[in-house]
Amino acid sequence: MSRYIYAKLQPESTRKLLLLTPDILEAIKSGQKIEFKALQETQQVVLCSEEKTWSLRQKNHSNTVFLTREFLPDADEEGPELNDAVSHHLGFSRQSFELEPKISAGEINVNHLPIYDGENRDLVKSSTVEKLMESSPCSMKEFQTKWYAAGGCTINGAACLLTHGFLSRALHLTIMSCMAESIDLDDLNVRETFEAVSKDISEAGEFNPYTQEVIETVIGKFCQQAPDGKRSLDRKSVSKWYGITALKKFAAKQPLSHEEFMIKWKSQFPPYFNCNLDISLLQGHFFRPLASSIHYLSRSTLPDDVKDRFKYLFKIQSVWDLEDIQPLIEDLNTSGLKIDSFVMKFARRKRQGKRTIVTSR
Amino acid sequence: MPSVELSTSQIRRVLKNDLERPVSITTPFGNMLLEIQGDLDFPAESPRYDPQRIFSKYQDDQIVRFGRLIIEADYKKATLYIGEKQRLLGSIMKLETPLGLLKFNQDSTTVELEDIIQFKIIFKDRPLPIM
Repeated sequence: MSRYIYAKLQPESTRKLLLLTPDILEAIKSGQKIEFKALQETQQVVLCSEEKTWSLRQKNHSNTVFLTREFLPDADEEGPELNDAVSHHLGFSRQSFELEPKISAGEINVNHLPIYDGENRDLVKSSTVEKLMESSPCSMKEFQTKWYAAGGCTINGAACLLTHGFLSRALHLTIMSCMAESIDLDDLNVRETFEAVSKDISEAGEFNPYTQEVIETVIGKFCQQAPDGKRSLDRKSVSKWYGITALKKFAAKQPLSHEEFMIKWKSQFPPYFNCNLDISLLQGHFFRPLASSIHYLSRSTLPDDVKDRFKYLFKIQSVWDLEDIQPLIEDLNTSGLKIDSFVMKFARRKRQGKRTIVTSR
Repeated sequence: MPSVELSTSQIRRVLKNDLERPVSITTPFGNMLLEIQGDLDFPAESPRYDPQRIFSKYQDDQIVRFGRLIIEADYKKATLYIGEKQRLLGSIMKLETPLGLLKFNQDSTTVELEDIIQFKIIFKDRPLPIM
């Protein structure tokens, strides 16, 4: 028995084939919202579920790939032989490529957002958080994390970024208020924390910049969420934040000895707040002009060109530990090489016991 | 853009059972994927002279009946007869990663996942003559 195959002389061009990886299929099955997104019409399109983001690559081929659909030909076409056919299939579309998804990190574009320092009350409203989420090539879950990580907040309905200084003050106040009210730092909720902060700050009629939205940003940025929804203060991230603040404050103009810096770092925390100080948390934010001293390094001052970046880093410090240099170069490793292989393309790598040393060529 | 929702409502109705079903050349929506290594040339319009009456119309579209497909009972091998002189030997392959069939509607700026294709009939070899 035969199946007769037909083809449209003018095939449709509105169909495309997308490789459905197990995680995409799972997202479809579970009824998640799936979207195609791009920052702008001319930029690369990504596929987003509620939890993940995939970049799409057009995988071309030179084969003839026909999409056919079962159909019934018009009556006058049928002859005795054709009536014997099991079915008739009409090739309605020819495909010359498949879209191949690859899991990638979602992005949000916060460059155009106003900055809020707790004082400028008349913000220029350029976007709302909802609009920003819709236009970001990023899944909803990733957006939440990245939004708070960037210090994103809503002030008077406008999406904006909180300044480092204001966020530091808000974090400091939040920790102090929670400790004063004996709120469990391992089970924080926005409402209760906001009320505790308001108690400390509000005088009748006085402007309080620490709104519920600001506290939400603090909790979103510095708390970890357990699967049951419980949010606990992430002491590592708090420690890192205070460490970077201390670096900027005390080690930006001149290097500071390691011991002296640790004392300065410790002094930044609210009284009676305990957390571990581990210098490795600050990797990517400092360099060591001498083995025993550290100096703040602003990432925004680093050259964008990979060769220039290595040249600059070796100029300020001739010998690096791989762990220290890695956060300062990994954004340039766009082809996803192993960090060792990437470093060897531009520098010399040596093993010294358990340490891996990176020097210039 | 910047964002277009992919409509999956139609496909979700059949997705649960469909992925576990046995070999089936066509999907529940009647779609089938054929792959031929090489090119198939069709005229852009139906010719006037068509003694074999292979050109016709279907819903205002000009179509051509170009082949006859025979699938063996075990759903492993297939033969495609093209015209009267060529035949292709092929096989039925389960796709390692299923393919989603997306339909882009420019007018309503919507994208729909119309179907999920799990099998394809692939013809890798050169055509053989029919004696």
